[in-house]
Amino acid sequence: MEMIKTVDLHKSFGDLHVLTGVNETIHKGEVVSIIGPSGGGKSTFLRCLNLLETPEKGHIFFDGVEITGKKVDIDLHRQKMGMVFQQFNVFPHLTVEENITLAPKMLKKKTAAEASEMAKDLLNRVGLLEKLNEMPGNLSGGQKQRLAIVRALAMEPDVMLFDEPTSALDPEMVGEVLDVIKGLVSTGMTSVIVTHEMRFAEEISDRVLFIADGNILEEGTPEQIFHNPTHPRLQEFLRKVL
Amino acid sequence: MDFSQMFQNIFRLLTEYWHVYLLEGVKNTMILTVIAVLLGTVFGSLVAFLKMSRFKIVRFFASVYIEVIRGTPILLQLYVFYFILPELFPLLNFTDFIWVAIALCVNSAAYVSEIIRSGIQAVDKGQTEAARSLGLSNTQTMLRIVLPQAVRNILPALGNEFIMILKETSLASTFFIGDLMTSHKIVAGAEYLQLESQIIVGTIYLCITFPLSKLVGWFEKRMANPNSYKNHNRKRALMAGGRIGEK
Amino acid sequence: MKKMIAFALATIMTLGLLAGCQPAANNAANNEYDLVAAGKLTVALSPDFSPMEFVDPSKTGQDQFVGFDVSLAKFIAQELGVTLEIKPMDFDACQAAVGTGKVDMSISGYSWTEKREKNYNLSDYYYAGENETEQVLITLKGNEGKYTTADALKGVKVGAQGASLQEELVKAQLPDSELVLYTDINTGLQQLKKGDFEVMAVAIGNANALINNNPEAIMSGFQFVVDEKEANNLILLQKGDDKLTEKVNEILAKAKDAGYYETWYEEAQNTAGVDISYDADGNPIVPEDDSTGAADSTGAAE
Repeated sequence: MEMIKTVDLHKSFGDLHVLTGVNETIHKGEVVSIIGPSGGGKSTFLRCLNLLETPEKGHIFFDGVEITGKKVDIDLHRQKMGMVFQQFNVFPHLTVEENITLAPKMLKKKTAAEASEMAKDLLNRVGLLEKLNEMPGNLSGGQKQRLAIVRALAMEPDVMLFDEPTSALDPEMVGEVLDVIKGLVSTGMTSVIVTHEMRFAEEISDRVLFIADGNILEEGTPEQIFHNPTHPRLQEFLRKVL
Repeated sequence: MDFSQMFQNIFRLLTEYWHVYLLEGVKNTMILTVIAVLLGTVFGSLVAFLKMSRFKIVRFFASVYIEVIRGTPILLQLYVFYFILPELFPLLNFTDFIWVAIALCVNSAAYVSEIIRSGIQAVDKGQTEAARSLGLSNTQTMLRIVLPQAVRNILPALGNEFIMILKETSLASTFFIGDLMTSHKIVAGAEYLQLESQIIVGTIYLCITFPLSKLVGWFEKRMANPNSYKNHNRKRALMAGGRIGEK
Repeated sequence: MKKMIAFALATIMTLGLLAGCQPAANNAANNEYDLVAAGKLTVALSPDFSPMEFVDPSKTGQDQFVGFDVSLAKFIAQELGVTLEIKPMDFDACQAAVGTGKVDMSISGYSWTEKREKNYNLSDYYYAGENETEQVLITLKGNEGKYTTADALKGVKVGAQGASLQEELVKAQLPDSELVLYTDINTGLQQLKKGDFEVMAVAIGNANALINNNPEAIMSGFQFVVDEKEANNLILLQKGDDKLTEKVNEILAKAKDAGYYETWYEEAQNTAGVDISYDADGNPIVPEDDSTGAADSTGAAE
């Protein structure tokens, strides 16, 4: 079943043509990693999927609905698309618990008790239960990113988008965040992950996309992409990073 | 210059006219300042949002207003509000004091709107993106995520604006509106003791502004602390990761 | 956002409507002279010019304004059959107030100047007591006898209020001295004390009030030659307001005939705490009993 589908997606920043007509379909339950050189358009592509960037041309379908259409309430669709950012973007003025419960209470009309119960459950899953009443300013980077992940999960999304979730972390904290993501995808959560962690991508992905120069230049199973790359750009890229 | 003479004069003016300075002058200066900053904040917030509007024409008018007010001397603005606007709007039967207060509000609003706008824009863009990605609307994001964080940038700057306006109210004494500088003009005019009276009002201004600026400084320091959002939370930051939760 | 725009537009339109409306019909007294406020004579003056106009800080409201010009304003209002409302403001603002029609007139110790003649309706002269009959130079103690003639003032810095009669007098009668402008009398006095200029040109009445409060200031002994134009004051009215100007001139004539000017001036001086008599040469004699503690200390320093 198709979860997200893009048709001829174009995006420019000024004179820079970042996406040059991307066609891609992501299916329910699929775990898709996106790799590629910096500035190749990976993050822009991901951010287009929930319209944090507005493409100037092309169509995006989410769950069968064209969200690039005119009369679409994008806020409603975003509730079903969780997103995790490179810079965590946890809310510093709210406690750990409030970070998680804010959106469910406002948008899903959950009672305070229900939301709190869910927050505790989620925090427990990522080992942060004891931080329930802490301010995010007192958390380490890895803890903040784990919080950001469960904040997105609290909306019970159909798909999770990860935008380089470990790039801003100190090396010793990368593992804890990757473990959480691993745990999450093993539950069958549809996930799209932009990452520089090649071994991680190889391990967890059903499919890997190689994006460079504004388009998907090659895609396939991790086995194909990492061990039998055909496109010269991908071969060159892998030589550099592996 | 004969300083002993000057001190005697100051002492005499103080004993004779203390009520003119303190009761009338300080009272009216405080009233004008509080009105200007409070209404200036309300109106300034509106202007700040107009300036950030999606519509170019709205942004344009907000910019014109801000640039005109910030780019012209406040004395000129006082003249306009005192002389010209009452002529243009004869049905608005305001007293001179009110017109001057309005002029100060309009002036203050332009500066406050820039304080608020820059306070809002100083909040990390990622905060908005995170909120929008959860499904919060533009308004919800502004109210629940951006504004609460912007307030910590805005409040200390507003405190400074209060101090600025407090001093600028002295220009309203051009129309003998009853503020502290008017007290000075009255006493100096009756006694021909300009410098002495000026030293007195200067000292009074300083006695008001100095504690205020100390307060603002203390506030700024407090705001810089990440725990300031919730002061009951004083636990030390825990470094390094904890355990990964098993499912 | 749309609501905001709608609100802003509504506000602008409402204000526009208000602007378009004419004020309600004036009453009879107003219609005759077209006064700016119903039943009131509105007068601008700068109450920092003792003894012509200043504030008695022990009083409040309209009662606090005292001085010669205030007495005159009261008399004019009384003759017009209306009440008086004084609007105090800086001297510059007073002239703007007449120009913009904020007030009916300004009575604030104006002398005749060419530019005032051009831009305003001027009333007939009124005799402002002795305030303007003489224009003098004051200086600091220690300069006695130094600046008594135009020759002695060659190359000397002379202070005068900008755009005032005194400025014109200095230019005309002391062309070889160096003119320094100040903004108002009080500031001028500070500049004199500081040494920005050696002598300062003021009207005799102001000079007396000033010396009375500042014992280090004295008369230099120099006097300007003044003619009728400069010895007297006049009232500023809006250009073209001929009917009111005519009526004011009638009232001024009446006050003059009744001999009110002298009384008002004496009253003003008493209120200002100046009680000065003059010797045969027109030099003020400061009475002993009026000297304050401050005056004594300076006396001792001499």
